[in-house]
Amino acid sequence: MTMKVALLGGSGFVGTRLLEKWLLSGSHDVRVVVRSPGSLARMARFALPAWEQADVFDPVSLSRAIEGCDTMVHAIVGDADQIATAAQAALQACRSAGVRRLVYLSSASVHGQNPAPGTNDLSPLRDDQPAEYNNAKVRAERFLRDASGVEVCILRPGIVYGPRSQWFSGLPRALRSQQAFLVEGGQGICNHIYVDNLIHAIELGLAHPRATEGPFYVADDAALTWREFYRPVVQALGFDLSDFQVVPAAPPSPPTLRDRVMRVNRGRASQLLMPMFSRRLKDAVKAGLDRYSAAAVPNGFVLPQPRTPAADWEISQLHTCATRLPMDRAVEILGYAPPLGAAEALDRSARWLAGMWGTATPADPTASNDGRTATA
Amino acid sequence: MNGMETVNVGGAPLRVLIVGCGALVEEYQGPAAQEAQRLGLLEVVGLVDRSEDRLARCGRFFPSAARYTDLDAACEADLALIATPARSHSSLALAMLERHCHLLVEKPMCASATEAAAMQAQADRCGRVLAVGHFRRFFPALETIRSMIGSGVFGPVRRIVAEEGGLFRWPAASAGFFTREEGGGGVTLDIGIHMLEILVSWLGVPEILDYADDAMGGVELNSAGRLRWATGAEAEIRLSWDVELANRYRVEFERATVTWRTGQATDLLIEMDGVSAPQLATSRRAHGSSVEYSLPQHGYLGAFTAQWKDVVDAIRDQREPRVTSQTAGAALALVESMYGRKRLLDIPYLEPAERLRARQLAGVQ
Repeated sequence: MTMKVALLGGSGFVGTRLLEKWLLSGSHDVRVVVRSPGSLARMARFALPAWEQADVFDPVSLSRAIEGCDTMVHAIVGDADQIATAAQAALQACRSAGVRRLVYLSSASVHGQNPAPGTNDLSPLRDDQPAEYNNAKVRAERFLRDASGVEVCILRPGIVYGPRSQWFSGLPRALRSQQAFLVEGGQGICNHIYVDNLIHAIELGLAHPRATEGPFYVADDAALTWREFYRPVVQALGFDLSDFQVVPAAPPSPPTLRDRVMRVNRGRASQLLMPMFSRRLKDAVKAGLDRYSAAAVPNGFVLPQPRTPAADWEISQLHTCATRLPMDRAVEILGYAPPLGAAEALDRSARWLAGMWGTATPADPTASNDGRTATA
Repeated sequence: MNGMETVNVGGAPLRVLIVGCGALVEEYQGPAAQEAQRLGLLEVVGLVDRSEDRLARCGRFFPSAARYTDLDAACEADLALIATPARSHSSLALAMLERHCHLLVEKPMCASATEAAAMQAQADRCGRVLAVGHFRRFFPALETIRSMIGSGVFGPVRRIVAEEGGLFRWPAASAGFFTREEGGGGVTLDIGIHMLEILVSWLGVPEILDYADDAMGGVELNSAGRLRWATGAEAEIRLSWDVELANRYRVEFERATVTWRTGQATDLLIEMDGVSAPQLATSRRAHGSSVEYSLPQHGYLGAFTAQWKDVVDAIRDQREPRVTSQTAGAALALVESMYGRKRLLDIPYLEPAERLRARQLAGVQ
């Protein structure tokens, strides 16, 4: 059934593929909400879809932008502060604009990056985890779960991958510069989901009568170890798993001074005040923070060395994860069945990335070309 | 002190009119013109834009410059910077040439190679300088590569692999930037025009062997192509507004390979016989017979200032500017040819039905 869908986060990784699928299939009448026209770049491959500019953290602005839509897909990424604010704004905006249903992309990280054995969708959540991102998603879920006046479907994808995903996009450079790493060899379980499988779950979330009975963890049909997860992509790029450096797991670390300052800087008050200060002063503060945060050089006799990759706590937890999260509820209640197997999904992702980085043919070998021969 | 401090020995500063006060002027051309003004090369006497808001933002660089929302009302000037959307460059350039202005026109210099030729013809008739804003040509690193090619010190160029890409972050003011009608194109026109102009300035105009992009009724986000010169040299190019690419130009000569990382104004890596040698492309100044030192070089931003200096010097010395419509127009013609023979870039993650629809939308069935 075609519906009018407001899409938030249309320029992000998930939003880009979602929009691409819908524009190519014509399955929904989509309206993209962006913070600035610059965010339209990734969707401009197509004749631009309907779009509105709005402050996604401001319910009044957002409400105006989504008027007339039946549903909303919320696929915004942000830091911990933005996550909570954006979820609240989205709900209030849906309520005032009469948008019937909100599909909210939460995260499996509400259970932590390395959940305890036996964790499932109904396990109690904590908002005092070492990772603020996790806590913010927990709080956003609580707010949405307790809300009224709008149907809310909460989906909890784990490691979402595919073209443009953060898990793969930086890999070619990391491999070439010998900075790619796996914590303790990457033997932990990767609770992954291919972006198209997540989109299938989103479509169920938009239409299924019981979608409001979430939250639902959604995933691929298999859960590979991290090293197996990376293998096809690494090989397509002309490297091998042995090109990953094996690094030890790291403990939680408190936020640095730079982290704290940058967090304040992202606040609304700061955004209003910042234009009052000169660029020179801002550059000086930034440079000072960088210098202050940089590792101290022990003494002048120390020889320069290539940077050794180091994992932070979150990545350490992910790469050593011992638990495969179950998606029973999504399967039973929504009838969720991932359309694409992990092997095929990883192969598609690998071929895309290899094509972008010139380790595969750039042109579509199956496409006809008005008689011209493909030469690349 | 830098190498440009003592340049103003040729007369009064040139009067400059800046036409179009968008993000480019606010971020780069404005501060660069301000620096050129400080050096005594020019004086910005007027700013023109339809938006009072944009005029006010750029006005802070030039408090004494007059502000106009109508070009016809603008004051007289010796030199005009045209920094409006590319579709308007040609008509504005012709109008300013009628007013006897020399021109610095931002890239892409206009909407078509035909317009570029008309602009140059009119500039020739009026006896005015027409320079094009390909600021990267003022990176010492790129000029050094051009010298290496010209001198043949490493033998002929065999192959070039040029890759530039990252997530689009330019503060585009409107959606028009992303439409074929207003913006003219996507990443190939936006970033590729720089790349192609550089390649043309190095090796002349190539033949296009292949071109593919991912526009499906809109403008391309990713593109790839192959070029070949009469000398036998070939180039592979890859461009993206979408994801980070290697961001480097790798020039394979017969006896050495030289790598330039995009955005690095002075750094080069030369590999010869398996030995890598990082190089800093800076000028050196001799003092007497035994003392010399490297001049501190301008960086990325300084290239914009160097371009102002080059244009002012070209006007005063009655010579061609470093970036002429010849190379800029040739780059534009290459982009046009690429669009004309475009194939759909392989998008291997599409479902079969999506692939079919993508080809329909791209018009390449």
